[in-house]
Amino acid sequence: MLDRKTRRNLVAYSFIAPNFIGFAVFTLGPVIFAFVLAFSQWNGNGAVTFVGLDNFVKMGSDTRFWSALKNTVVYAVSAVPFTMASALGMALLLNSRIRGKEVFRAVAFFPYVASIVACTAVWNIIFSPGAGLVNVILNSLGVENLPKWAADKHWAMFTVVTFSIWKDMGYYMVIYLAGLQGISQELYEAASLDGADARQKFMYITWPQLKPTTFFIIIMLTINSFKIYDRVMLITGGGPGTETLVLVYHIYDMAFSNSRFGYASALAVVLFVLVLTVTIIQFKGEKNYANS
Amino acid sequence: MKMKKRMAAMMLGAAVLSQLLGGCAGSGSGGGDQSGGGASQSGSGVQSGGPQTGGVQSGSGQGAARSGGSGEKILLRWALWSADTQPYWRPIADAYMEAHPNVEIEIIDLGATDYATALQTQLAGNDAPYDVVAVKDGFSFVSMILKGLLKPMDQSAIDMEAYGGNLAPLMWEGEVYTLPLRSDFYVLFYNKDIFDRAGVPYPGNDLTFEEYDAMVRSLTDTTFGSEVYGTHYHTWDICVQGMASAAEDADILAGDYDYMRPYYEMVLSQQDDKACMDYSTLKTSGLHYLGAFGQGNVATMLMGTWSIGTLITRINEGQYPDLGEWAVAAYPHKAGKESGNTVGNFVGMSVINSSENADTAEDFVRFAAGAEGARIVAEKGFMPGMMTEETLETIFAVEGFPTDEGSREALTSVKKTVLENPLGENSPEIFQVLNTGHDYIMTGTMTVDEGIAYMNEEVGKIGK
Repeated sequence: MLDRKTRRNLVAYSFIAPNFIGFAVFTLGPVIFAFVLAFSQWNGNGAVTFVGLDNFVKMGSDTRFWSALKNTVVYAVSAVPFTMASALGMALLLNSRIRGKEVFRAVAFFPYVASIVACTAVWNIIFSPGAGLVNVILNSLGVENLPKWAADKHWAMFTVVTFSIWKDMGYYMVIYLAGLQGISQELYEAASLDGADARQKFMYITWPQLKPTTFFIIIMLTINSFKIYDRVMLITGGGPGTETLVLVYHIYDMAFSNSRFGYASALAVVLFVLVLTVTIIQFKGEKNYANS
Repeated sequence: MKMKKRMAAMMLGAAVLSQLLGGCAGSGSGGGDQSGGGASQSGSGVQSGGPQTGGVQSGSGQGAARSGGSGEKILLRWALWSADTQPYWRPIADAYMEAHPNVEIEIIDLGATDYATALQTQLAGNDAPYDVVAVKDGFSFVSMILKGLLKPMDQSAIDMEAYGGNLAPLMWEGEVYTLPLRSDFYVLFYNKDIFDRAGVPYPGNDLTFEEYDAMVRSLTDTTFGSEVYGTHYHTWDICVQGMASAAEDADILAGDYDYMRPYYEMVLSQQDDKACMDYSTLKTSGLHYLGAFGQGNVATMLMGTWSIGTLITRINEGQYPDLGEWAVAAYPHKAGKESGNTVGNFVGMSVINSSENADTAEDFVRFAAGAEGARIVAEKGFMPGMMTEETLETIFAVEGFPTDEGSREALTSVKKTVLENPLGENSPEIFQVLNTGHDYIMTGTMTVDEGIAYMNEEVGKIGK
């Protein structure tokens, strides 16, 4: 007969088991397998051959990898601050006493819940090089040499980043709104009594009080930026050429188009290390920032 | 009381766990004890002989029973795409089952968009979820051969001559791993109404690229509001690169692409002069090539014969009221060379190596890609892999099929077909580079010379 403590533990384990088994089978197992594959050659069938660091060495001469790495960093560096700033701006605006703010909040959040396939299709129509709305307006304003947007070397990444900002800012706005509503009104009242203006209230109350929220948003945005794939695939297809090819796109291509699962896993490990490093730096930065 | 609660909680937890594990087992073990229809997902997965029985599975088919509940019946599981829109799959299965009452064929539809990826993912792991697979492109075909997934077929049982030139390009190291169910090639589609209005004679079947270029320009009208495009190129790299490869008799996997220069220059010049739609706009809008041709303001289009059947279907559905009368002409050729070269592709039928019913599967493949299957494919307006006098007459008898002398000659005068995706170990990587180079050139990101230099250099690195 099991003792009471063991029985109690078994009850607890039985509750977490379904979730843990799912996690182990569908996440933990594949992740471990990917780390093993990163040092191997495997075409998806048959034997897995250990090749040591070969896959990582090959990346040195893989021009698509370097393009993808550069583009991923460019995307992250562009999308993270602008999405965050847009979300904060919207949240501040919609946290003030304006008429119909509930409607505006819903409108701002809508892109986040809308189907990404539909959104990208509409985006590409609006930014169509031929008779897209944006180019029609620019043309009527007398702009010459109109950009080809998603098919233009200089504007393709801009088109993707702009889309991302529009699509994501509603979600982060809601998080900022929650943060704003957690700030005690007494602080603002005290500041008003001391004669602080709106800018000073923001600089010395709102912004410091929103630090934890901002930190969370930066971490989430950064991780999501490095994982970017769907919108690039739908808007530019990684093009023109490799101008918007990103790491996850390259990983997918290598694994499923070229059956180079070992090399694709090595790329995934590089992506993992990259995200981990950036996140550790951000955590350290946040600690210093909080202490300052 | 507390003990009872704990017991209840434990039982609930155990029940959830057993459900989860039970579910896993059910989908992974093959469900060998199915007694009704033989397929575990929907119960209607096995085709029983009647046409259009709605037995298509959209799932993985992993759980299908190895043999049906009817005892001696042999179950063949056939992976394919677009079961509901490609009209020949089911009739072929039905015809075979009618001729072989001891065989049941279960159709598993993996969808068209990512068919090759889905198929190879399903086949990973060496258990045989399918007995027969339809092959959609050269890349996945070679990949499956190299992975040892496909069974080399018994050549003594195949009437190799009957396939004309359609089988030889599909052989790999002397073995037959697939038989062509369909064999399509590029032709020049043209809108007769636009030619009539412009007073331009219809294209013959001996058109050089220079004559083609002059013709499409003479058909072009750039008047705002009533634009007519002399020609149309879809965004695929093969639409220009394949043209160059077929015209120059060049091996697209060889790694030197200087021969593509005049063809890119011709297409870009046509694009600049609005004789064809802008590549960038087409790329971002995702306009389907038949949608473009069907609008009625595109005079010609170089496209594969697979479009004929679909075009007829869509016209019959009333989708293209502005199209008018259309016909086809032979693919243009290089001046100084004979006509007859074109670009093409195939739909193959292959047997899975580890199939427990490989002999029956091979027999079914010979049937599907043989005279019987060819007749069914032709009846639906598609070009079969085995083209005989009888199948030709069948295809020309399809309502809506262009039957004028010129079209008949265009469809029967092909001498050499260059595969869209020639078979080679590194072909997926090479085509990735070619696709990127094409995109660079066509969007104007690189000049023609820069784009060709890029392709030469990057393809040169592959396999080294």
